[in-house]
Amino acid sequence: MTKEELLQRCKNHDAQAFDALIRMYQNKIINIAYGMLQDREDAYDVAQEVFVKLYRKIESFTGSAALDTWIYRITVNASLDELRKRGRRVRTVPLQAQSDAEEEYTLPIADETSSPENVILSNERRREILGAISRLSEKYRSVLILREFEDLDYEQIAQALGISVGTVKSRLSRAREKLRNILEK
Amino acid sequence: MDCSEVKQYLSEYVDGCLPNELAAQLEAHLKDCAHCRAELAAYQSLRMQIRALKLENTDDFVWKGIEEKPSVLPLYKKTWMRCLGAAAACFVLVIGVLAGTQNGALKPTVEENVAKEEMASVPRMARTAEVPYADQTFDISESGATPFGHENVKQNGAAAEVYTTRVLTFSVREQAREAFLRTLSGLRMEGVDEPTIINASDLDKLLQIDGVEVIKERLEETSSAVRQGKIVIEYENRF
Repeated sequence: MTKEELLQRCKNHDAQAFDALIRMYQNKIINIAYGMLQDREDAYDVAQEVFVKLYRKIESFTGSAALDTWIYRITVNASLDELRKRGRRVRTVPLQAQSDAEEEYTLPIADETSSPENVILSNERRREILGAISRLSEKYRSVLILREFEDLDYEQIAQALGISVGTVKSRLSRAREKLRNILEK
Repeated sequence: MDCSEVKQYLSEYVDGCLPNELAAQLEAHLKDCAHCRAELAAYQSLRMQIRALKLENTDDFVWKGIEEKPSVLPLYKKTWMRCLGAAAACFVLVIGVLAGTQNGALKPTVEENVAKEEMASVPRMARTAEVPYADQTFDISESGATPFGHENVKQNGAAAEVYTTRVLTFSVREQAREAFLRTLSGLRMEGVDEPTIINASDLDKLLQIDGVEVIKERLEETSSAVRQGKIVIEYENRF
């Protein structure tokens, strides 16, 4: 089934099709929310909200923008709403390892400029980086997560966030610079 | 290409998005500069570490369904909150306009203004009118009016910049799209952090995604940035 067919069936309230849509996007949505919020449970809660919004709004989705872009946008906005609900309360990454951080993570490197090794993060390093990301402002965090977690190109990020490509470039550069500064302190 | 230029382009280079010519210049510099090579390695390392944060397995996620969503606000609550938000925005607006008027701040034109870093600490909250927004209306300007005013004044003996907003109202429905494009095209913001350019082409792209929501965000961002005195606004009157 193509995305267009899936979309059409979802618009017709086909439960099976919506389940397929969930399976197709849940990992992406949860990971974006996780990157934004640094908390697995919160990310799952945001994913619930995102799918509710998708269910309710999918009929009005015209297809003039890519489905992926639309979903990314809803996810980032839902994550930002969650962040705002937290208010200015400082949210620190827990010292104790979360269930998802019990094991070490490996990632195949698909970047021609990198050495072909797998990245293995210790739990401590993982918490350090998550903590540093949590200190980035929303605008920097959003571009960074969409770029690094979903590997979106600049144009896709621009569309998902409703900003210009030039702004994506500059925010991404600043986000990386700030992150390095935070981690090096 | 020198070290400062390399630093400027490193992020794009790491993403493989730097145009070939610039990439070649950057690589030529890297051959002779150990410092920049170390910078590049640090960028690449950080990039891979961030990517390694991703959750690999989310199969335990179960959608609870549409009926079990208590976190979705009921319509009446949303409406109530919007009304409250609009009222608060109007209050700030009135305060801002009054404060601006007292200082004779509603100037008819703005050519070009340069925000001064040393003045960033001067409080100007009460002097800046916020752009209020609610569901259907959006206050910004009308044809021929100046959306943002600016002047330098003396405040407690010190020079201060005062930003004001002249606010008029029109509807933000589809038919107002052209008016928005006319109003916002040519509005250029240069932030301390990075430049943001709003032009008709950008807006067209944005409107394809979710229309009015984008406009709200852009104006909120503009209003917020003006409030913080962080940006330079150049408004080219195209009417």
